[in-house]
Amino acid sequence: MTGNVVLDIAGLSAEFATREGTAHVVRDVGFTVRAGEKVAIVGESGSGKSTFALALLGLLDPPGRIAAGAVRLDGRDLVGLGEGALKRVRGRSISLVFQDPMGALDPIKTIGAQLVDTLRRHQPGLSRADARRRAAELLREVEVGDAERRLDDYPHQYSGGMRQRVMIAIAIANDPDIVVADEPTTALDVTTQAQILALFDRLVARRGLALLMITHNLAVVANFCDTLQVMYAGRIVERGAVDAVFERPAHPYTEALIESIPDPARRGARLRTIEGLPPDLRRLPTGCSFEPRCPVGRGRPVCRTVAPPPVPLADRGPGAFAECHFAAERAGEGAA
Amino acid sequence: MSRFLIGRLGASLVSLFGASLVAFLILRLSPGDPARLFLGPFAGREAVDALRVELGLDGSLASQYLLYIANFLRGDWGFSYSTGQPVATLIARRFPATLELGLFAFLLAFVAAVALALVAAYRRGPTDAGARAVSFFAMGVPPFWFGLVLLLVFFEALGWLPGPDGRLSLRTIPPPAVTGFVTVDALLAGDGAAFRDALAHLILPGVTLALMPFSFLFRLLRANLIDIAREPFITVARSRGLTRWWAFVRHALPNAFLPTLTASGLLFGQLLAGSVLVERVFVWPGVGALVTDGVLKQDFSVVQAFILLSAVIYVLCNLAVDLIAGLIDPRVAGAAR
Repeated sequence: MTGNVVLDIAGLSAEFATREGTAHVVRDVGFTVRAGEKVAIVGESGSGKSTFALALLGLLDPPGRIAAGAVRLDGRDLVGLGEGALKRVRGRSISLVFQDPMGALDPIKTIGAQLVDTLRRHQPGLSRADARRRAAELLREVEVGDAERRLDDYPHQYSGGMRQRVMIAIAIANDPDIVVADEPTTALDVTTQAQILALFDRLVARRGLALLMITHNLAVVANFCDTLQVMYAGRIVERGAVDAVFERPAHPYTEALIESIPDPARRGARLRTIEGLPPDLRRLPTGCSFEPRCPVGRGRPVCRTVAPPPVPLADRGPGAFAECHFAAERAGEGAA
Repeated sequence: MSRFLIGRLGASLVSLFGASLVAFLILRLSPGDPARLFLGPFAGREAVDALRVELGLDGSLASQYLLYIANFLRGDWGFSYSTGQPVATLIARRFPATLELGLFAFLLAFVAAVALALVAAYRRGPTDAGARAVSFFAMGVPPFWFGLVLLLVFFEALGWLPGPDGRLSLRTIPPPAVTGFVTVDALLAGDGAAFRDALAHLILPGVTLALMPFSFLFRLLRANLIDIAREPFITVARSRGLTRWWAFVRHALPNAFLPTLTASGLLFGQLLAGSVLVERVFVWPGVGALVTDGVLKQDFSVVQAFILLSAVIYVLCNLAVDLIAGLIDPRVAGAAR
C-alpha cells in the first residue's frame, strides 16, 4: 500500500525572534512519510502546526526561521535553499492546501488563470490551450461540475467547498509527490468536510501521492489517516498507527485530546476539556512541557525536572513512540 | 457589466448637474449685473437692457440655467469681460499646456509612487524608512516654494535645466501645433531638438506638481501592499512556485492597486485644477494664469467656465477610474448588480 520514502524530516526546529526572547515554535521534529501514506499531525491552536507546515516548504518569513534540521524531499534537503531553487520544488514536488478557502485564491484572477499559471510555471512547454484543457481536467478530477465554463469564474463565484476543491486541484496540478494540507476542512461545514476528505482519499489512492494532514480535529483523523502524530508545544509527543493510538493513547495529552471529542454516548455530561494553557514557547519548562496540565504527572519530580525521552512502542506501527515517562506502562503489555 | 456601466454613467451625470448648478449660481448670485460689467459704467440704460435680453438675463432663473447649459454644450462659454474674447477660445488656447504638464506630472508621480511603494513594502526595514521619509517630505513641502528651490539649484546654480520661460526656450522654433502637446507635436514633426527642449522644460514644473500626488499615492499603495502581502493567497502563490518577489508583483500589487486607482482619478482632477501656483512660478502658459487673472479682474465668465470644465474633467476621470476598477476587480462590477 505504501511505497518509497518521499519526505524525510530530521531534527527540524523553527523559531521566532520576539522582543521577549526566542520562541521555539517547532522543536526537533523528525519523521518520514511514504508514497501513498496519509499521516496526520494533530495539536491544539498554537502548538506549532502551521509554522511547521510553512517551514516544510521554506515559506517561513522573518522574524521566523528554521534554526536546525533537514527536510529531505525525494532525498534532497530543502533547508537553506534560496527562493530560486525552492520555486522549482514548490507546487511541483510538494504543494500546500490552506485552511481558509476564502483567502487562499487571488480574488481578482479567474480560477482558470490561477490553475493555468500553476501548470505552465512548472511545465514551460505546455501551450496555453493545452494548459487550459489540463485545468478543466483537473477541475473534473476534483469533481467541480461544468468544469470548462467554471474556469472563467472568479473565486467569489465559488462556494467555500468548491473553492477548497479548486485549491486541491492547484495542489495536485503538477502531480506532486506529497501534499501538505493545513487544516483543509476546518472552515467548511460538516457535510462538505466529509466530501473533501473523501476526495483526498480517492486522490491518494489513484495518484499514489503522500498526504500530510495538519489539523486540530481528531475526528477528521480517526477515520481518514494511517498514522497519527500528536504535536504539543512544538514537539511531536506521540506517534503511532491511528487505531492503536485511539485504542490506548500512551501520552496523557493524546488521551486528553481524544476525551475532549464530543461523544454522543455521554450526552448531557459536561464536555471534557484540558485545563490550563500550552506553555510559553519562550520559557519552556526544563521537564516535560505538558507536566503543568498533566493529570498523570503533575507535580511528580521526574516530570518536572527531566524531559521525557521518546519511548519506542514498536507494535503500534513503524516509528511509533511516546514522549512520556509512563508511556510503556500506559501503552500496556505489548510495549515493554 | 452593462448595468454597472449605466449606473456609473448615471452617477456621473448627477455629479455634473450639481457642479453646473453651483457654477451657474456663483455667477448669478454674485453681486453685479453681467451686462453692466460687460459694457462698462458709461454705457446707457437702453444698451444694458438690450444686452440683458440678448444674454437671456431677463428670463426666470430656471430658463437662464437651461440657456447656460445649452450654450456650454455648444461651446459658447460667454465672453471675457476684460479682453472681450470668447472664453472658449481663451481656454482652448491655454488648456493643452496645462493638460500636458498635468499628464507629465501625474505620470511621474504615479510611476515613482508605484515603484517606491513596491520596493518599500517588499523589503521593509531601512528601505521602507527611507521611502517614507521621502514621501513625508513630499507631502509637507509647499509646491511653489519647492519649485523656486528647484529653479535655484538646477537652473541658477547648475544650469542643467531651463529656467522659467514657459514650454520652450525662446530660440526654439515651436513645432506645428497638431495635438497642442509640444512634446508630441515635436515628435510628430520629427524635430528632436524641440522635443528635448520641451521635455527639459517639463521636468522642473512636472516634479514640483508631482510631489503631492506622489506622496499620497505612495502612502496609500504602500499601506495596501503591506496589508495584502499578509493575505493567505500570497503564501499560496508562493507555494505554487512563484518567488516572493513575483508573488508580490503578480498578486499583491494588482489587489492593492484598486484604492490607488480610485484615488488617482481624484488626484489627477485636483492636479489639473490645482496647478495654478506652479504655473505662476514657472511662467507656464496654462489656464492657471488665465484663472488667477480672471479672479483678480472679476472676469466671472472665465472663472465660471473653468469651474465647470474642472468639474467635467474631475467627473470624467472618476468615471474612467471606476470603469477600469470594474475591469480589474470582478467584485466591483458584481456589487453594483
